[in-house]
Amino acid sequence: MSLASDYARQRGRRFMLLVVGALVLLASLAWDVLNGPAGLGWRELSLVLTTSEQLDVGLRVILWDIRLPFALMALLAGAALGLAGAEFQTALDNPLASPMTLGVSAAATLGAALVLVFDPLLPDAIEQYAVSTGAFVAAMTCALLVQALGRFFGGGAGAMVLLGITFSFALEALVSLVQFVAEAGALQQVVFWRMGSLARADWHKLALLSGVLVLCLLWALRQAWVLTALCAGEEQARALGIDVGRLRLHTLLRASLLAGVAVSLVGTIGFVGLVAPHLARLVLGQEQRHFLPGAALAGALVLSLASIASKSIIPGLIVPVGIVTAMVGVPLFIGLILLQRRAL
Amino acid sequence: MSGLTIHALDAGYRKHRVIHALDLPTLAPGSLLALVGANAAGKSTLLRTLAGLLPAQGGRATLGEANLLSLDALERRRLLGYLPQSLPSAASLYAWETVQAALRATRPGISRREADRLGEQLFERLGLQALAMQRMNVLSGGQRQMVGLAQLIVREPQLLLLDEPTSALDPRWQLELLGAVREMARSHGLIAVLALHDLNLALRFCDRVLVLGEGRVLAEGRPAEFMTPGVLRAAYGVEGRVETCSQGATVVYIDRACPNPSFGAIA
Repeated sequence: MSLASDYARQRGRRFMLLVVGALVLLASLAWDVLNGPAGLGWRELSLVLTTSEQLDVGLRVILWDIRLPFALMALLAGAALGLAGAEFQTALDNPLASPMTLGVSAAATLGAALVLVFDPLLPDAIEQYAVSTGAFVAAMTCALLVQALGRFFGGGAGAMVLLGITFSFALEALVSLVQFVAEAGALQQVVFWRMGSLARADWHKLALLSGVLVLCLLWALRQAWVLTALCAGEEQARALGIDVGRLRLHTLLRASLLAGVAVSLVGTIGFVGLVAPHLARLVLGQEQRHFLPGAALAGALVLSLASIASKSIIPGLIVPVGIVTAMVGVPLFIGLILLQRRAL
Repeated sequence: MSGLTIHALDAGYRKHRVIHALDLPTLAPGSLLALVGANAAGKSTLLRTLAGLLPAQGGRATLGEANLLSLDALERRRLLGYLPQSLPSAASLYAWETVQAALRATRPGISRREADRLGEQLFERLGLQALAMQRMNVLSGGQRQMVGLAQLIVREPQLLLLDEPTSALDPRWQLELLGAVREMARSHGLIAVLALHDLNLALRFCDRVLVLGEGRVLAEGRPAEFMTPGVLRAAYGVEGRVETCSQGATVVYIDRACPNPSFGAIA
């Protein structure tokens, strides 16, 4: 048996794991759609997916305008945050890196808070887009600023992480200041936004996020071997003639774009960007052709399960999903580690 | 390809010059040069400058017709292979993937079949088949160092620059690694420049030895010709003996540190 065919078997096993993960995700999506205060069954779901003529208007609205966008947003935002986290961890060679690390999440929160507190006269329909735009602009400004300063200080991963963490603290302080001066109503909105919620989903936002996700994933996969070489060590990658500074710039911009768009649409949802890459790494390793889609899949699964949990904890009430992501992710993560240990 | 020549090379870090007007007579294809000298003598700086990771501050370095100090990225990838002092990361990657990544990241057009063939050949040549399907995060330091070498030579560069390639290896693997480098150099007409701390390995495996002290050449030549107690004192500040062993090889014994070392002056 040759080494190449040994490795081909490993590659096949990983592909099967990705397929199984996708099937589990589909099941989770269906469960999420069916789960909610208005009791719906598989029959209604299959009808809505084939023809909606036989359903009454109420059910159509619940399924098409609430349940499906809500459940799909969990899937897409989770995938975007998982992929962003994986790219942050690879580019910065730091297993603790996540969309929080470069200050992207904190900046998005500040952008949203500024719009919510200082521009309260906008009509509701426009305001939610203004909040998302404010969050996105702030997130990308922060990411670009950290990149520029990081390159000024030599472009090393350590300098980037240090700058990002410093920025995060400064931005959190500014958010607190904005909250301190906010009116009671605006303050409530900022607090709610910070909890992260899938309830802001609509089909336009889903189209935007899925477009960004597909483009970023394809772009990342084009660089998969170079990123894998970077995983083997920065000095080794430089020695291979890889322009590590440029590669890091591309990767961090891509990750910031993903995280910035996701956070601007659903609010601050921590933990997914941190834990999803670890889940993928445990199961698939770090070869980026498998790791990157795996991290997106793991992120989607964690947030989809969190969405189900958010509707199940208090009957008749949907808890903001940002509150329950860790509650779902931690047992999943620990369970997987235990399974791996048993396998070794 | 003709040889490697260095003339009046100055190198260092911004305003701090480490290498001063270094000359190296032409090193022929197929030969190994050992760089030896105390810590901070400039061995790594010289290798990093030749590898294009540090800009030269003056002078010339050529490999055949190619000016090593002004190569573009593609030419550099084709001609040079540099093994850094640091070990490859303990990542969750198979050793096979680490080597494949080195190949496929630097030769994007290569087919999977060809990459597999080169990988198979290399793991067999280095005797690393047993490591191929193990993850880097479970390998020892020495095993990772061997994988680092495999990452380098799978690309078949013409000039190998190896910075302390045996630092994490036990005696058996030191012999395996240096033997493999020498065999590759001889069979493919490569040139290898190795920074080594083990003088006996340098004398045993290398065709020429260049002794550096504070960024300057203290001595250079064929191993048996110039290695003397005076060179040991000047380069390392130690008292030692240079003798011929029962098998006819030149062997260095270090006896003690000099009480009043005078680095750089060969007595």
